[in-house]
Amino acid sequence: MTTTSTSTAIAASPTTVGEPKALISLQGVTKTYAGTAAPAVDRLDLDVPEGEILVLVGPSGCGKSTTLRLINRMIEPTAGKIIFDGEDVTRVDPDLLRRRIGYVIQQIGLFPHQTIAQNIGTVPRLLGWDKQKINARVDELLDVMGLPKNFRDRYPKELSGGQAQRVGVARALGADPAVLLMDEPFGAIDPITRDRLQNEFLRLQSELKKTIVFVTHDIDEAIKMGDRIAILGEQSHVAQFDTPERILAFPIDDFVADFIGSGSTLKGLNFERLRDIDLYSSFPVVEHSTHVDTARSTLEASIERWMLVLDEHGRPSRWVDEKCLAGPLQSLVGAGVEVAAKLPLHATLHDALEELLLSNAGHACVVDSDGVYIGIVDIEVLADVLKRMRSQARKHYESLESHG
Amino acid sequence: MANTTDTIAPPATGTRPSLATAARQNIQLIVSPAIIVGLSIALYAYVSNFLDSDKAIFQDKRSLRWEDNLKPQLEQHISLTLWSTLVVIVIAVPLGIFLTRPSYKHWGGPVLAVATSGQATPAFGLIILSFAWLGSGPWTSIWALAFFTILPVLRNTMVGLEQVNPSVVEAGRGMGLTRRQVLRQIEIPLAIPIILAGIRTALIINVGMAALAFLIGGGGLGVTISTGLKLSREVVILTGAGLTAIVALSVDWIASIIERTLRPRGL
Repeated sequence: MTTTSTSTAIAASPTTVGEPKALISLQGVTKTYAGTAAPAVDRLDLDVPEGEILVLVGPSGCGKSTTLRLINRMIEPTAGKIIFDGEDVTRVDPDLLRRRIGYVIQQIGLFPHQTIAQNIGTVPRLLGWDKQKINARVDELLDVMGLPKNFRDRYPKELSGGQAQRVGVARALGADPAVLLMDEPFGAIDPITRDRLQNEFLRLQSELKKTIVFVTHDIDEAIKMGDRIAILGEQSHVAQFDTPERILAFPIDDFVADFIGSGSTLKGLNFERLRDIDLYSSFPVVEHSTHVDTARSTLEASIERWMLVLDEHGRPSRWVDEKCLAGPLQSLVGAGVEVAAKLPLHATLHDALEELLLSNAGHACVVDSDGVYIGIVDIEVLADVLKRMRSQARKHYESLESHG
Repeated sequence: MANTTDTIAPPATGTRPSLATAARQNIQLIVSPAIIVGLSIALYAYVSNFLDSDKAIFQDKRSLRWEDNLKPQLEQHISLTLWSTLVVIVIAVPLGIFLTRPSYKHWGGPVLAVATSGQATPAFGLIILSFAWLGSGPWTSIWALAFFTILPVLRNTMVGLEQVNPSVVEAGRGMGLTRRQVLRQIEIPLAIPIILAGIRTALIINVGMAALAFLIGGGGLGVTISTGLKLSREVVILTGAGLTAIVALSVDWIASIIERTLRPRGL
């Protein structure tokens, strides 16, 4: 799962059962530019898993764009092999190779003198599809990218940045290639549109299941977009290659730790969902019809300062604390403070943390789809999860090491 | 017509005219023919009036005869202009394409220097020189004119190709277009407006230059102008110069229409 040099270890590793096979693999690929002694990319081994987004991320100048362009041989490797779907493509006609690989660049590069339809139909035309088939494909892609049909006959200069990049992606998908190479595709777009395009693209990818190599310098984009991330150092050396969860939980060295930055723990919370963790179940909870005295003794018996009151349907309704119960109270109905926020099971731990920080009680309650109480999250629950994630990642690397 | 010409290609942004420029071009397209027609009528009225009056002398009438003198000279003038421009296009456009290919870029400087020297040479001297070298005949004039106007077409072809956004070429190559396909389907169409501007400049220069072709027996309206000068007959000079101006304006107008027609949509 890291590089081909450790592929034997991977096969033996129990955690890698069911890993997708590599559709593209670079083997010892080196690029040395004429007149420079040090190679820009030095003996790179990299497997791109089929049907996944692999993000190449690293500081500027590390050679990630060069690496991407080596795959479709926009840059010819000085040494090494490129294997595409089991075939050595290091020496085949690069133009024919590129027609099988979608290519999206930051500047988009739409042909300004061609209509949107002509732009999208570029590769099908090169492959000699007939007119009708191209037309149908263009319509299909406009639809897939959420662009109106009347865009067909427009020219690129009439589009906004976000629309243009949608067309750029549609054009790359033109002949339905198995592989897409994307070089900072959302880099030049404003943050709000970028976020929307990223989400749209992820939704699209969940249906298309293309094999994608995605270059970015933005670690947050890498974490969001990547099924796997390769963090590249100088000369495209792979510093760490793993799922974003594991990289965040266990940066393998100082370089990676520095690169992903101080917020890595918080970012890691985005990858766990409430439905997958153990909630705090022994929190004091009472029905709203319970007698005030019973409630009081329940709370005293627990170590908590607050307790939760449920309504007749079992849905969280009020938070009450000792102070509130100490007063002259007839019934629990309407006592204490209202439960403002309830977390659904599919919420991430990041969402949960946000609720915790906002809530008076320092707790957030989790409900099912009918709004019925399931359990409580507090800061200790989150800390436990983080501890578990970290130790799992460490164990994973230890097992890789012991096998390697 | 002089040695100072605006052969500097418009900047890259010039390929995308603003709305105001587009409107101005539209007006120009209507105004130009009006001026041409007005000028022709005025010239005709003035000359025929003069010839009918008693101020006209025998030499005036002879040198301003339409069938014998003016019409053949006009035809020669136009054909000199068109042939020399055609020669320039055939030489300078392929040369400009060649000189912008990555492997031959280093030839660009020296070749441009030669082309610049062509235009820096005084027109008069250039025509005499080519007479000394090639002898008389229409092709001598055509070659001389062509050499003189290679620069604007060559330079505009090179600038036009170089100003094509590299990311467009990159995207084209990345999708599997061959170098030749990128050149023909992307680079040339995107450079067309600037190349055409260069050709138009060459045309206008050539109309003016063709008036000097008479020096080496190349004919053209220069014959009438020179006759007028020799005889000191104002009406003859005015007719020759006026007709030259009318040809220049007409050629420019037609060129502007061609330019608009050939400019790819979407730019």
